Amino acid sequence: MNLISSHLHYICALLLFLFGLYALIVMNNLIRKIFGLVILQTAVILFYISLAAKGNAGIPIVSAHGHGAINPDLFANPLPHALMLTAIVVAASTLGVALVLVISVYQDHQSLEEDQILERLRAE
Amino acid sequence: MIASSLLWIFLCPFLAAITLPIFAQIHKKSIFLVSLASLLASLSFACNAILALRNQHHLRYVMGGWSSPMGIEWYLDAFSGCLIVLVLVVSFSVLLAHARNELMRLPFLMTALLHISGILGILLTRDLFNLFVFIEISSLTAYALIATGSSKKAGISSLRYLFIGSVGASFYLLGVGYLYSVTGTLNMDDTALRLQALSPDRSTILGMIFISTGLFMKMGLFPFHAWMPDSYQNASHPASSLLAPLMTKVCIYAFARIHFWIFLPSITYAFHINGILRIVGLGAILFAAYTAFRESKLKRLYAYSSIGHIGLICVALSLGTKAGLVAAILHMIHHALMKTGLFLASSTETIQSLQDRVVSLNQLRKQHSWILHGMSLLLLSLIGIPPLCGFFSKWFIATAAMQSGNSILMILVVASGLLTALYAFRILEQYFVEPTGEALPIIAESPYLKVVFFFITILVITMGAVSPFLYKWIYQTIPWALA
Repeated sequence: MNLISSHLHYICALLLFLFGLYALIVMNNLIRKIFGLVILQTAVILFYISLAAKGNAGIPIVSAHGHGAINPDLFANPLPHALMLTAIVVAASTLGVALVLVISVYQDHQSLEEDQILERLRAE
Repeated sequence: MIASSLLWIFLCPFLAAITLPIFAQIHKKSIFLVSLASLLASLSFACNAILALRNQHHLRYVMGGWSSPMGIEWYLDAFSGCLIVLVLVVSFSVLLAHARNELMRLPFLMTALLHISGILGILLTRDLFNLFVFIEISSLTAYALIATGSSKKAGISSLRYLFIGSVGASFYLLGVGYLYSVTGTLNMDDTALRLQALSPDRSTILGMIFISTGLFMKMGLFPFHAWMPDSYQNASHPASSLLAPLMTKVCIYAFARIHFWIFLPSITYAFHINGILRIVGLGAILFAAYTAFRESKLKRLYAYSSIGHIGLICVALSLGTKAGLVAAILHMIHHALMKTGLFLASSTETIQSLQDRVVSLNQLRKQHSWILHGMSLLLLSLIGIPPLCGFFSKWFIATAAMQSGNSILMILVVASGLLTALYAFRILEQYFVEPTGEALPIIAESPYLKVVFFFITILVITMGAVSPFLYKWIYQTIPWALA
């Protein structure tokens, strides 16, 4: 019980990751696949942010005279947050490219169901 | 001083990519020349940096003066140096060859230059998270380049590549998170040092598995290869000849860099990855030979052949020895050159007018027979016929297998050459088939494409003579972490 409550965010990240992967593999609609991809990427972001969190820790802003006497236990780790800022940008651009591609697929085939599109391509 | 040229290798194509719209405002035609000039400038910086490798075995550039564990480092040794020169030579030739192509306008050139600078970033960076960002930059631009194809299938094949590629990148990022949670650092050297000090626990091993899986997806290793044939076939010709030789190779580089310099020296469990790599690589060779033999479209056939050769490179890496790694590097270089030539040949107007079919290649016996001659030379090199470069890298892989006492693997490597011959001869046999039906209309080929194709075939011949020296040089200068 203790393990679950202390690792709740990790378990959530894992469940979200698996859920996204499942949606990506099983769903037939391209937009739903993209939802799956976004959920999967968000799960990784949640995982990183969970690494940075500590009990009773504040925001990592150190005053100018704080040299030499910084207790790291009092501050949340800022590095994963900075990394995830970049990862969010990457995820957003992936989403943008994916949506543009979906638009072009829809214009070409008038459908978003993957099996229909593949069937039409095979028929040609 | 010399170390800052590492930065300029990356900055030349990157700055050109973002300033290209300004040049387009000044003069429409200038953007193509600017792109080529930026690649040449980058190449000269790369040669400058490699010449400095004579005195020291590696170069480091520290960003903003923040030294290693705190800041971000760029790094160059014989491994990345060779691949940087390869990337620049191949991308320069491909862009030049398609000078007459109507796609060579602002959007394509910007995307292509960003793709190339992303690839150069992968080769230069020494930071695990930066590696992720550069992999994503080069992948996102690769999806866009594939979607430039005129066929209706281009969009959907690019989208399927995007799904597999993004899952691979997420796996990689998750794995880096596990390693970061154990070591608290993202610098590759620092990670390796700290992992050696720790006894590897479950999260390290899980991180290793996630990183390897992610990169396997990115490099198109056998069970994750499904995106490759469609993407290469449906991409526009400049895009497929730019992507096919380079993208998978740099992902193999990323894997080899992490595997040999972080995992193998510090995690004993990493030797199991070698076993998996060997089985999967051999599976890839068999699968590729079977599917390529049945394939009737030229570019798809080349894509399956690439899958097989990625398998062969992975078999060489799986030996876990220095000789195996250097042989794999050489095969990466040689295979990239041969694939560039083959994809350039299939982007000629003549082969497009034959609708990319293998069985119609005999039409080339009468007109434009230079295409058939060049392709045959490249295919003979792909099989591994002695004076050509493909022979030498396969020879080095076979000797590396022999040196590590694995004679069965050596026989399998030689057999993989025979399997390559199986599908290559489907094209070579067109020499001896009398063309039937009406003759082809005479199509003028772009002179740029001719010159570059000739240059690549000459390169494939001369690399055969150079490769023993190159092997020796890489073997002696590569900084080796394992005992």
